[in-house]
Amino acid sequence: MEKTFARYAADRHDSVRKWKQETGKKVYGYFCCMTPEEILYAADILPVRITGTGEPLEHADAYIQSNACAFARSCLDAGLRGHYDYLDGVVVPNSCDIIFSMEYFWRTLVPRPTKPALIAGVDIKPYVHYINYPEKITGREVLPYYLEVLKGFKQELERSLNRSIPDVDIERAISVYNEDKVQIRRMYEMRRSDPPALSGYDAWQIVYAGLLMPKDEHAALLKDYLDDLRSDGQTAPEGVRIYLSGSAMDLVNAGIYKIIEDSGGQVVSDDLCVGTRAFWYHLKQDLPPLEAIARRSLGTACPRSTVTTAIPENRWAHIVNTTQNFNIEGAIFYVLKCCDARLSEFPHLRDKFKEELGIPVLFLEGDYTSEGLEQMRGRVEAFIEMIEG
Amino acid sequence: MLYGGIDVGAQSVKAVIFDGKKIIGNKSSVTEKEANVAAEEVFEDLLADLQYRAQDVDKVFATGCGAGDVSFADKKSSEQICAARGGRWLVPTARTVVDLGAEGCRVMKLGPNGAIEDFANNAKCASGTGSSIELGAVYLKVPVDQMGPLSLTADGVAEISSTCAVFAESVIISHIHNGESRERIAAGIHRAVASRVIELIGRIGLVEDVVIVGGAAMNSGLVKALEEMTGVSFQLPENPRTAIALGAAIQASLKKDGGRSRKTFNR
Repeated sequence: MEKTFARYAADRHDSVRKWKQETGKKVYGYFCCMTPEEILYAADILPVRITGTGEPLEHADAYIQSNACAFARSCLDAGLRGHYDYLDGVVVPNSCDIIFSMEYFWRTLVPRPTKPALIAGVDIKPYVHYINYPEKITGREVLPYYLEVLKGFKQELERSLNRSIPDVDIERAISVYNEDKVQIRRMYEMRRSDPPALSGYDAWQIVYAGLLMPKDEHAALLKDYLDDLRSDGQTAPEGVRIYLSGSAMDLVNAGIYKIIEDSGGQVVSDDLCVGTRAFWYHLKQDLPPLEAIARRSLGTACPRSTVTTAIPENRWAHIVNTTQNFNIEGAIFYVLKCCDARLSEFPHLRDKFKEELGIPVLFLEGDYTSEGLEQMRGRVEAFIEMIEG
Repeated sequence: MLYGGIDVGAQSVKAVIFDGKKIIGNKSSVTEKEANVAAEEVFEDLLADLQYRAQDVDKVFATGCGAGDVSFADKKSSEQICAARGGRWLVPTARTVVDLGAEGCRVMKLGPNGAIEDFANNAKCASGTGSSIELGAVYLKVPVDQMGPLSLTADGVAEISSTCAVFAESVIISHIHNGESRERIAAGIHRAVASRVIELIGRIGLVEDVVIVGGAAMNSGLVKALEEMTGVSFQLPENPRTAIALGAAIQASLKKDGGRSRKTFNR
């Protein structure tokens, strides 16, 4: 594995702190893949995805009910422990019901580096920015509404930073982001072969590092890495070809890749925000930049986002796209306990997998601890053995 | 050629010698020793009984929660797969295999040709397993092997409303205080355990014939509760306790050349 990717994946906080020290630039934390990272990047900010610790909670239990997902609770706990003390700002989109509440918790509980700038009781330079991503992502009114939301976010950011963010800079950011998506897609293409060119865990490290480091640097490193991989002709160990679907795949949850690989499986494609959803949706470069960003966000098939029907067709469409030509032999749903969005769509998707794709499904309910993951090992082994026959 | 299967369970170690067509011998022993030592003892005892030497056995597969510790095994195989293989071999028409162990409960669905299609098992909770019945036996002050027969003599059921073994404990105690008969409480305990097993069966769907294996399958009260609550007959093979070890020996025979084996296996 390329050292920089492995370093970011293994020790995200120190890696980002080091980057900040070296560049003197600002770092903003964000939740969820619908965040318009490109606007932050255009403002010379490094956006980094906020994740938790997987350790027992120290503070968050006092604020979030125990039937909320352990990942979200751990994210807040990490904030309260000071793990994110290097952040200059935080962006919270209205994704799921727990992440949305992070705006309040982070704003009121986590110490901020700058004082609020109050005018008539309103903080015009907020530390925590809230993006009112719509509940419903299709329909005529949605795009114009969301464009207004993004314009408001951009203005709020400009006020906070005392600078303007011209369209030309956002267009440049879009092309940087698109180039990174091209490279990640290329990596996924290299996993179609049997055995895949690189293991599921290595691919995860690369995508995860991409959520923590500047996209231009990530794309350049990844291009070289893939070129070398191609010329070396190296491959990952052979294994039963697994499709992985699940909740936020950070360093804690990614232990599932190791268990799958230990059991004789190999993840070759996925339905993850730290996975296919990070690159599948390109930004259109022939549109006004904010509209391109809005369309990308609204098009992202997050399990939180439903369409106008009760059955999330956009979710199934994404799965069909990301399974095609990957020769998937089994699907593993690794879902965190209390993740309502994921758990409520699961029965529908499981039936579709079995009936339409003829692919067996294993459901694992995680608790966001490494001990909980270890408990699943037996079932993963049985599932892979079942497929092997 | 001879194949060995070792099943290191939470409570006992089981061993089977299989020649690819029939069971040559089997043995089980309750042990508190380390998994590797206990497995070696049971396997050696079985070989001695059969007058074989260790080198006569071509391949040994281990299964069960202590499978990873069995150093003399060639490979380990999962409990679900072994239980399904063993259950199907013992009852060749089986489409559903229920494996009830001391701390594990697994349900496997098989296709018409014997290929394993799906499975479900308990995760962190032991309330649908043999240990729940053991817990009840402690409060009713009866040997655990008498729990089943005791429940069969009940004139009704003292409901255990909670499926959690810890909460069930307090329900059992209050039933005792209220003067409920031991028989009725025993029947209630078996129904509570059976309801958890049925919940697992429900996840993958019940297809007949159903075969029940594992140590807790020898509990007649539990099998009766399962049959009454599902309206389906559960077939109990001879030696259900060693069926999973048999499955491991079958896996050893199928995978003797390594790599992927046939998905289907019939007697």
